[in-house]
Amino acid sequence: MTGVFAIVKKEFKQIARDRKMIPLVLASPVFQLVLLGYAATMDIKEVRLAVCDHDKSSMSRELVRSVVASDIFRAVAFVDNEDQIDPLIASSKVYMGLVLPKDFEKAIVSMKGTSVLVVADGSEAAKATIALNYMQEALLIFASEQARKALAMVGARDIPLIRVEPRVFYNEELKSRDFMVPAVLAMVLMVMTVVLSSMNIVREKEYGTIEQLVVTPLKGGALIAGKLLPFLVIGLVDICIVVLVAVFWFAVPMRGSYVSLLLASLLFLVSTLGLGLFVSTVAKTQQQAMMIAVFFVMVPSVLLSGFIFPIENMPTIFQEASRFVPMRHYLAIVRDLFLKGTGLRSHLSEVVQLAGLGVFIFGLAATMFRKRVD
Amino acid sequence: MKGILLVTWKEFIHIARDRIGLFIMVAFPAITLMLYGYALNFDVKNVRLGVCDLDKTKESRAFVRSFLAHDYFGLVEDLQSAEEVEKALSHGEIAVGIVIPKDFGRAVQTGKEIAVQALIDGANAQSANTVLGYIKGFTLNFVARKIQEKLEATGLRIGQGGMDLRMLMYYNPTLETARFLVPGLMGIVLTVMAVVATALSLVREKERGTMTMLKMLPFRAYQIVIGKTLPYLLFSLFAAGLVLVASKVLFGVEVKGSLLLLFSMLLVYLFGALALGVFISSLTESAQVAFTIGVTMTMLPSFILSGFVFPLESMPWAVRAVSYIVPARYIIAIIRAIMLKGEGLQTFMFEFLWLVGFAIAMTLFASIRVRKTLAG
Repeated sequence: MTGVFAIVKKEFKQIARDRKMIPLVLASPVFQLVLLGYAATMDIKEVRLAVCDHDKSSMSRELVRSVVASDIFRAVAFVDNEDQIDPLIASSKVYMGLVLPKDFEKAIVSMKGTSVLVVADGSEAAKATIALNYMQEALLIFASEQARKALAMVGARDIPLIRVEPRVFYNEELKSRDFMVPAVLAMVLMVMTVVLSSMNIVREKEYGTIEQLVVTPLKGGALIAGKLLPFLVIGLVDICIVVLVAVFWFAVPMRGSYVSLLLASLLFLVSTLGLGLFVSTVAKTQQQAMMIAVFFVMVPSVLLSGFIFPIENMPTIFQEASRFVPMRHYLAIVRDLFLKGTGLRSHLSEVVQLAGLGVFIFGLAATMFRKRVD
Repeated sequence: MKGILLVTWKEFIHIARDRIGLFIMVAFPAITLMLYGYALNFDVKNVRLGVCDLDKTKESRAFVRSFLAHDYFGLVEDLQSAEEVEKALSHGEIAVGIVIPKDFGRAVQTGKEIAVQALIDGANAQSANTVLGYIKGFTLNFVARKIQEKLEATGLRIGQGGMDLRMLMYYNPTLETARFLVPGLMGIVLTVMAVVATALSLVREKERGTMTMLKMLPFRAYQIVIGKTLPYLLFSLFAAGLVLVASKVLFGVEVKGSLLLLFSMLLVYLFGALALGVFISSLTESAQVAFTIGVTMTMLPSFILSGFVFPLESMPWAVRAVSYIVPARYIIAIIRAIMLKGEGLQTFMFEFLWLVGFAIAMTLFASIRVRKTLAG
């Protein structure tokens, strides 16, 4: 046990001697929080619209008014010819174009049916999908409103009207921030524990000091513990920072228990430290360690964990593959802990899978590491 | 010139000897491209829907059926009460639940106003918004159909009514995610590879003590900066080519504009990004610090503040202001313009000039720092 602490002490001294390391360990999570808290939002606030109204009737103007009234669309250009919309979209001056046909009013009034053309910039597919949904809704509302009026005019009285009353749970104001900020926990822990711990161990290889460590009377297990404990501590400090900033600065609701959060995080740390150890056995230089850790552990984890892209939308094979990503389970637990307040008990399957992955990864890494050392 | 080439040659030997590193540099773009192209998309489909039909009439069943006609919703549960819907929601069994009130059928028949409740898990705000949009849309459609039935029943021969929406998507007609992601992905992969790989290039010499050797040699600072970046420049361009070939073979995404223009733009950008890497490298004493700065300064900002995934217009003005200094923002805009829109230099003159300025400034900064290191 004293051996373990000796190594821990040495590691902390080394980290502390590197003056820039400590501020970085503290500042990096805050920086990530600010980025993801403020910038990672898909909410669309404004879509610049070009209108080409061939009809120029009171009906067509009313349609444009009702579309613009939704606050999402802002008509920034009125053109006489649809061809004029193309260059506006190409130069990104407008994002969408709305073209109303010549006999628009007549068709609506006589209920003959008509069609309007919407052109949009598809090069940003995510935004285009959302903007189109809004446009579709605005047009549908207008169309059914007109149909209702026409029916009332011919004296029909029994016109149905169904309202949708949304009741939103857990994130009542539908803020992207409340979803993204808890996820920063996973991100920060990945950076701090997988990458830095692997680089730290490989550094001893690069410097040739690993032999010195090996000839000390410490066993492989104690060596691993001594090397990884400082990063466990750094990880825990970073968790505190993230939680403090999330709750007090971003006012993200924390509805679950902090004990559950700590337990889940410790469980996740077993996996990440195991991954760090694993990378360190594969890599020969710090550069390799960093590249393997970032490119093959961090990037796939972020992409497959549901961090940004929902898992349900992936093809089945990738959904299955994502089960082997510890971050997926951790994210599911942490997000629910913050927003829903559900404890570990209702996430039993995630907890079990996370623990299983942790034991497997860490066990494999430790065996490989020991083989190298002994 | 000779000095530059000598440094380049030395760095090349260094990289070539590093088999694992070489493999990583080729495999990373390939894997990322596969992930992005196949696994990731924003379409919200097969939303798990729970229905609590308190009415159980022909009308209410027709209403539910209209939701299931497309693959937007998948019915997973038939629930008996609003409480059960809430419970299923909190257990994550359903993503959204609708509660149809008792007199729904009568209200639809007699034309009264009625409210249908949509209970939704709002945790993922973006998906929730989309799903609510679907529900509103389907409901409006259902009402429109009912109105039409009424019209036909009254015997008034006034045509079909209604209003179609014809949609035309420019540049990406089917709204394929791959087509939209590939240009952004190229920007990200290049930034990460360029900055992160070079960020360690000088630190390595410092850590291993070979810096003193470099100091004794008659190289000038700029020769070292350019010499150190050249091999990575070639690798990055190679990676860019790889991404282009793969995106054509795998996803059928082709470059609409000029290939030459695209590569010259990439060249300008890479020069700046690589010099930034050397600059970071010159600031620090250890690889771990260099890495942490490199990732925090480049990877996340170029992922989040570049308009790659998150629309820049939606961000608060302060964050948007910061995004103007993120170089990835400009190169992604340029790649999109060339690849998808087939535009020429004049439409992105501003972005281009910005990148030129960035490249010059970064080479200068890096040279100044390296000169200091060499002198010190």
